[in-house]
Amino acid sequence: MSDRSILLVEDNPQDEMLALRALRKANVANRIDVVRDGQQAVDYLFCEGEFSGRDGPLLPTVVLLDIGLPRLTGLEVLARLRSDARTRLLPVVVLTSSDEDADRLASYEIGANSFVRKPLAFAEFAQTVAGLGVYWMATNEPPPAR
Amino acid sequence: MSLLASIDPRRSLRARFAGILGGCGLAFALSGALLVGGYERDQVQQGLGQGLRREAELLGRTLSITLQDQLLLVRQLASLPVLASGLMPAGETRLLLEQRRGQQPALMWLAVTDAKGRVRVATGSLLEGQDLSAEPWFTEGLKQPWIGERRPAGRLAPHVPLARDGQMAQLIDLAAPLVDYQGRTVGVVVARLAWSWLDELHSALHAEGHRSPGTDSLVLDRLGLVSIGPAGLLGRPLAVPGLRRLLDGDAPAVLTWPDGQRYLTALARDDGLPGPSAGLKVVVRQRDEDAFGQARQLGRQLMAGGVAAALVFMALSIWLAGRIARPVKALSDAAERMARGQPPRFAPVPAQRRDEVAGLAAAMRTLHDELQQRLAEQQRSTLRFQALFEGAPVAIYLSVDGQLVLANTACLQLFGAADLAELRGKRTTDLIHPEERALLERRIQRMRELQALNQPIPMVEQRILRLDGGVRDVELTALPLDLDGAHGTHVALRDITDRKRTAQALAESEDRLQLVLRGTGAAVWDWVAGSQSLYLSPTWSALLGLAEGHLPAGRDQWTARLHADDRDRVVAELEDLAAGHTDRLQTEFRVYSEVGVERSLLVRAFLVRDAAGQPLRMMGSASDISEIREARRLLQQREALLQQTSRMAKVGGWSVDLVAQTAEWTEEINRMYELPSDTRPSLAVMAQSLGATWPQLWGTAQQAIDAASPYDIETSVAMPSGQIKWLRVQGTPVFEGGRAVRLEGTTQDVTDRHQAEDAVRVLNAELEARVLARTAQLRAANAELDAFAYAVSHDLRAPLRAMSGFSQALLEDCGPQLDSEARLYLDQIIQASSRMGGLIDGLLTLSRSTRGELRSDEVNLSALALRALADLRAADPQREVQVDIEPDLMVSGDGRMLDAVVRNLIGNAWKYTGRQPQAHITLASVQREGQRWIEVRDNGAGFDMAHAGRLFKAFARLHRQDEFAGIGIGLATVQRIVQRHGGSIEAESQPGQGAVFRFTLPGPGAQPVPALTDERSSP
Repeated sequence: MSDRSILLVEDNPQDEMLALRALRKANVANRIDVVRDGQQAVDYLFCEGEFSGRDGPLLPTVVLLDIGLPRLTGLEVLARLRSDARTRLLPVVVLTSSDEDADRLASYEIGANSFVRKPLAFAEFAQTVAGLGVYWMATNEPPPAR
Repeated sequence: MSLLASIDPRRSLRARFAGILGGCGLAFALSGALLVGGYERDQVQQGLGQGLRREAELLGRTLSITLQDQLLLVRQLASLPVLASGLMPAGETRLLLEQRRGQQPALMWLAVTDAKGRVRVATGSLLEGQDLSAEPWFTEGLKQPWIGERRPAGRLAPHVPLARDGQMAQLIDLAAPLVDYQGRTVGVVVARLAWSWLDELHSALHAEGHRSPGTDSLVLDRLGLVSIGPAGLLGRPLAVPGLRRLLDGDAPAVLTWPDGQRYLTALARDDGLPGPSAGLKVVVRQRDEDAFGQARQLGRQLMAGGVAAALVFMALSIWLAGRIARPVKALSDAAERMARGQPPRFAPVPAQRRDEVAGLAAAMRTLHDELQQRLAEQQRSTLRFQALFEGAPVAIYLSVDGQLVLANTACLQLFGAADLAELRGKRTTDLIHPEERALLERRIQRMRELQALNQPIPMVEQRILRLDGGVRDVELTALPLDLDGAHGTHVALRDITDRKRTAQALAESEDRLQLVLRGTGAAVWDWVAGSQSLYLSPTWSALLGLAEGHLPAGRDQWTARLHADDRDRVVAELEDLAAGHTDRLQTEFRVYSEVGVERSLLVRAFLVRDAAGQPLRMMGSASDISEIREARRLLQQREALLQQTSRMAKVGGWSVDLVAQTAEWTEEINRMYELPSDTRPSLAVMAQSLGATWPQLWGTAQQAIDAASPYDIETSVAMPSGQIKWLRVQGTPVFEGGRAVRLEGTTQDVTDRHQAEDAVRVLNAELEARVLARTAQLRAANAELDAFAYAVSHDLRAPLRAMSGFSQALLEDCGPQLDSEARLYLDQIIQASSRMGGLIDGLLTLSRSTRGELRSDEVNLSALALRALADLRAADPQREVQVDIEPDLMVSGDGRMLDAVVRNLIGNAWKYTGRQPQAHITLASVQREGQRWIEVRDNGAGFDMAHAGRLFKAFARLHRQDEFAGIGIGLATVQRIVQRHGGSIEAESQPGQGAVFRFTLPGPGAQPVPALTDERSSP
């Protein structure tokens, strides 16, 4: 279990900090990598571009993906992931502040495993992120490696 | 006659005869046979019985005599004085006895006893010296010579050989008294004889060859026991019922023996013989069948013979009966044939036969001849009557008890029947037209009354119903007849349908004429030339304004009525016609009515000439044309007006006769087309005027004709002056008999209008364009707004979260290190962020409420309210609030937005009752001014109505923050949403008395108001 990892795709540095803190406070001790925009996320997952030759696990256990990202949007990233055999089954949780039904529908349609709204209040935000961390690291079983 | 009938005694004389005779014969034969048989049998029985008896007697006698003989020997011995004296030595006596015994081998023992019964001497010295006084032979033998019965050997048994069957020998005793010279009985001489000797004797006597077949005999001793007989019966009494009677002396009879068989039995005693008897009884029996066999056979033969004889007799009698019955049958056949109406065939009767049958035959013949004659007469009579009846020119029928029984040919024709069968049996009421059936009863009654009074019965008219349903009118007379008690009626009818019809037609015609005249107000006259007869219809009175029935009298009065100016002319014209100068006259003139009112009359008259051409008859009609004249005048006036109008309206009328290929049009058309005013209308001119437009116009007209519908087109036409005019042509095809015969319509100069329209069109287009541009702008603006709102909410919220988040984190992570003031400041930051978040949410909701498509769902406000209250309660469980929600308040609208409304209002109510210990919130609907208002009511703090104007403005608050926290944009949103739904909202309150917010929304099923982003701009 300790070799499970999270990829957090978040462009807002404050949100990133708060999220990491929340996970830490929830004793989610797994490795957490952070990328700041959509293109970085894709490069990271496919070990291309600026991340070619990176170290660390080939794929994280779960990706926490925001929608509103620079360069590639979260939905575009998701589409890329789902169209590639390597990452087709990769668990992706869309974690966004958008409450548009259109976004939610699109996420599921493209193939997100989960859609979570970032609560506006901080306390709930921390709780939600912590919960996600615990669930995806401990409770959920990732797909078997091929 | 069938076989069955011929042997049935009830139906055949012959059979009966035969039956009786044969039966008698048979009975006779049978009874004879039985009697004779029976008699024979008796005789046989008697004879046989006697025979058997004789046999028995013979046997008995022989046995008896034999025994007596033996007894003699004993008596002889007894009479020997030497024996009696007793002087003979015993040995010698014995010798003597032995000697005697030797003479008779059957003797088993011979002895002499003394007077006391002691055996003095015996053969073989057997039983000598013994006292045998008890022996019956002693007691009896002492008195007289005696023969005993069959007894077992007893004491002698050892010395006597056994019987044949191994048993003790049976002996019979013979005894005689021994009497001395003085006559004293000094003893008894006894001899005991072997019974078997008797038995053999019996057998010898009754040997097979000597007896009748099937017989055998038995011997009974004195005691009645069987001494000789079949082994089974020996020594026992004979138990044969009826034997006693034989013993008593009856004749031999057939008895049933113990072995079950029947035997003819005869009995004989031996006591008819002199001398001592053994008391033997001999029974001889013969088996029944052997005895009577022959007799029976005879009887049967007799019977057979008798039956045969009877049958022969019967056959004979049948033949005999036939002979007798045949002539009778022939007569009966003949009679039957007569009855059926066929000619009888009489069998020839021989002249010399004078018996009853012949007499009957003769009588029948005569009867038949007479009947034939009478029948012929009757037929002739019937034919005559028939001819009379059928030939009658009038239809006649005869009915009995209301049913038709007879009708003649004319009647059949009248009712439309093919033959009598169709009418016969019909009820006379059925033959009368339904409408008149009810009268029938009364008519019949009347008829009877009249007949009773011997008055003539009048002819009546009646409507009859033919068989085919047709109706005819008849004149009929009915005469009642009494036919043996039944009510018959003789009815004669004459068809008067045609006559009636003619009369009716005439009457109708007359009526019609009068009606027509009256209706049209016309009056007619009919004057026959050269005569005074002048027919004037009654309508002249009305025409001249006179009272009904009054007419001018005399020529002067007539002419006086004419208008002075017309008088002379009209009189001259009439005289001209009457004189024959002309054939026809049509003239108009004025007359004065009774009251002096002037009227105009139109007179049409014509003359009828005779063969020579001379005036024969003048007929004419006059009608009041006053109104017509007036109408004419008005028409001219109108015509002039129309002309003027069409000139002003620039409308001309035209019509084209499609058949004659001509055209007509009004003056205006000429003006319109810049034609000279005296142009004669024609198709050619029309075509020329329309020029290039002509083909198109004609095409349209053709289409309209094909479609049988009017057309209405506008077209431009070039005028001779060069001006282009716009003309609106409207035309309608007129059909007659399915064919288009005319085209009628109008043409209007619409040039002015066109110009005006063009201008308007240009203007409209400009406006449209402007509107589109505006709408596009608006849409763009809205879209910008959308994006703005969206961006605002997201982008503003994120830093907000960071702010509150980090403050929180600071508080948590570094809390212990901070002092209370620092912590307070951090708290403030957190609170402020939270408030800002609320503001942003409110703004977002407000903006959203004005845009976006309004859904139209069925929304349950009550459910929304309950959810809102549940959330409020969850957040603040301690508060006790009484809640009354009207269930299932249904409205039509956007669920999400209405949820916001409800949440807001309920939330407000919850908030503002926060200080109220007995908080009460209700949601209910009320009817006001025909509309349904939904009210949210609370008993909280309320507000001052003076400030109510600001209530729904964004951000305006009527309470301080420290009284009630809040942002103040809720109600603005609520109002916006309600208004977008097409409803309205209002509030009412008193400070401290709570508040009521009421709003209207469309009911379930209503259509929403179009949103801002729709096509048309909102005002």
